[in-house]
Amino acid sequence: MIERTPLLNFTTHAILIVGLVMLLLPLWIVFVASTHDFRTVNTVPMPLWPGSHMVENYVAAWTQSGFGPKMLNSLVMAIGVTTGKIAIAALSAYSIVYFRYRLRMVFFWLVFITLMLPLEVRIVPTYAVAANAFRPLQVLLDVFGMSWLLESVTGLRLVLPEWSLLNSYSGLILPLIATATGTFLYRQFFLTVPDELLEAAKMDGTGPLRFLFDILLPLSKTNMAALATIMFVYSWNQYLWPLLIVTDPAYGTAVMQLQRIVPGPLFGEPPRWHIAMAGTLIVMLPPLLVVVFMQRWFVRGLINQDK
Amino acid sequence: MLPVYEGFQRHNSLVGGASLWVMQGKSRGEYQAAAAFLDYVASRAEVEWMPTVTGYIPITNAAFRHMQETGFYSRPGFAGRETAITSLTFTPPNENTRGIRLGNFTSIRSELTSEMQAAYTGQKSVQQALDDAVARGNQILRRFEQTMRGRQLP
Amino acid sequence: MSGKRVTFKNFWLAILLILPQLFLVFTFFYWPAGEALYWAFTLEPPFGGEQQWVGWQNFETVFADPLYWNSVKRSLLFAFSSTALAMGIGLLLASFVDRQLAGYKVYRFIYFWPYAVAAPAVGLAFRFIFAPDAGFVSAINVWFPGLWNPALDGFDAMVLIVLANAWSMVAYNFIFFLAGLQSIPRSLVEAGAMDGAGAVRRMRDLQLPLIAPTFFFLIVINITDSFVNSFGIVDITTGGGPARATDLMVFKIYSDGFKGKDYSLAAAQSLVLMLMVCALTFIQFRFVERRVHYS
Repeated sequence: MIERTPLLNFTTHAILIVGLVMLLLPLWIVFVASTHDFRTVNTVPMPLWPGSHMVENYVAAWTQSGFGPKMLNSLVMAIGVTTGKIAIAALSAYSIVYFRYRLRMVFFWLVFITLMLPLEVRIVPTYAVAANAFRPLQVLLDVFGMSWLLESVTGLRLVLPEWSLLNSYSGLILPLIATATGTFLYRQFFLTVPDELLEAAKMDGTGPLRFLFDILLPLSKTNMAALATIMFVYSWNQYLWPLLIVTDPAYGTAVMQLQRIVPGPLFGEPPRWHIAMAGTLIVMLPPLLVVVFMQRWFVRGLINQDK
Repeated sequence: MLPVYEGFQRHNSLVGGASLWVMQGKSRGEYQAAAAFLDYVASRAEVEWMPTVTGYIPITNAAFRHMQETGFYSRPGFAGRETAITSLTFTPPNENTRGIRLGNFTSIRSELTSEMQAAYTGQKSVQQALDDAVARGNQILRRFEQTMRGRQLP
Repeated sequence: MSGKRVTFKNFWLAILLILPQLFLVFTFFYWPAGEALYWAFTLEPPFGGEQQWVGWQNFETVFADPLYWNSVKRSLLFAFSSTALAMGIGLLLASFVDRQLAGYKVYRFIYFWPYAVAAPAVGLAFRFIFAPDAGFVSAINVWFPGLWNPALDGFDAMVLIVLANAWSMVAYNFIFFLAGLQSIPRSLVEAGAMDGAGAVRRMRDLQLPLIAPTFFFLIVINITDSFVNSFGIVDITTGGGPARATDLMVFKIYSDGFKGKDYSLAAAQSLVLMLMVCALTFIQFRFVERRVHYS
């Protein structure tokens, strides 16, 4: 506090409280709606205080949507994407920073430019690739004559197997793993590590892999935690991609399920908002918990990302 | 059945809903499996199961007749459902009442939906909206025609 | 790029380490982007088969279509209003939290929560809250019958998705504005106060110019995000309606491509969107460089 200004202090508190109400009110309304019965939730104006039907609504929402396996799928996807992103970010940043070869700048830019290609804008052809994820590589090999070369040398025709990503965990995970921001974050971190560390390690005869796993990665724990929280929330909340790649309910994710619990005349259903809101809260809870309990890491990761 | 305006002739109503397609370019074994599956879907027991547990119509005339004979439509809870069949089979279907089978039908339907919304919300007159829907639908059909040039629909 | 003084020499190991990332980037970014380019100049039969080269026809169709320009217009309206709203509120809250009165940590803690909520969940929540016949806002229809109905009124529908998007973006803006404000040396602000500048004056003449880089960075991020993240909200709340009032660009690509199975038309639209996002990101890069220079 810089000066004593009772009026300004009062305004400050007032505005901050209004902000709090504004940001929390939607969550509160969702919660309140999920605790009333069918009749009460549809009264206008709706009550703003929780009712007594909370448990039954949540049980109904959980069983109707089969949230058990769906949450599990979401968890598998989120953990898969998160670990994948961290691993790939660390490895490629390590290659770019700690090795000296001519292509590294090219590689760095190749990865970095993907920032300009968010999934939403290349969704149609990406979906086509998902039917056989090896097709691009196969074409590349054929075009550059590598298949031909291999064939003439060994007599074997190199044909990559068809690899469909539709309705699979690899389909949910792999296309989301490539990460420009993660690579960038790790590169920034590696650049701040003093050179003396590598000199000392080299003097001890430490090889590149041991240096990475025994020295650098343990040092990057904070970095990793920050990246992990952001990426977990990002991947849990994915919607469009799972919607396209999954047609088999066995691989459905929790967030996808939201589309099915929208009550409305479209599905000829009575407006069961109490169940829908319980479902919404169930789906939003895991990332919310991550943000609430890991906020320190989260904010650090976010702020560092763009430096 | 819904009333019709005086001086207008009643036609059979249009059938709609999901459809099953068998695509070309598959192996003989796959076609045998597909045929067996279609047989199963069209079997009387399956056809009768659907209207019993949902509000849908039986999809074959044979099943409908059988259900009439066994008294399905006079049971409480199901009475009156034959109206749908009466409406669908009111006149022998002609070219315009056979149900819709168009290239890019989903796109055309969404154009129609949007134009009708424009009419309902008062942005356009009903006539204007329907004319626009026709124009948009025709554009989509021309595109479909061009995409599928040289191909014969079965 | 500043490099390391000491490095390893093992070329093949370096390649091996970066290979997984390169494979993913090639398969899921560059190949699809290239394929979109190719499709945009062909007619692609939806269930496979020979495609034909049609030159610029797809682009001509897209640009000649008033409904495409409708979707561009709606997207821009959506992007700019939700950006203005989210940034305005974010900055307001950040500047007051930055005064660090008692309890400011609690605010800082809670203001960030909405960031965790998935776009379609925001959509579903707001669909209920702003429903015309149930929920919170419907109360105004009791006093003024028929005043609010996003299912019938295009303007109401746009207001609904803008508010939903702004709500979910406020947290991000808040965090960055706060970080920006807190990086200003306390002594500078105190010096301003001693010279007799009031809080509003200090904000306008001292703090705002100093966080200008953050400001521009956030503009780009917000606009890009509202282009690409709008799908979840639109899909759950309005489905592009009523009468295409909320038919945003990404949603139109999705419906033309995956519902209408016209991949070529969708690819041409994707390409236009790609160029727009590229341009925005490019501006951001230029700007990030300058930002590093500042700090």
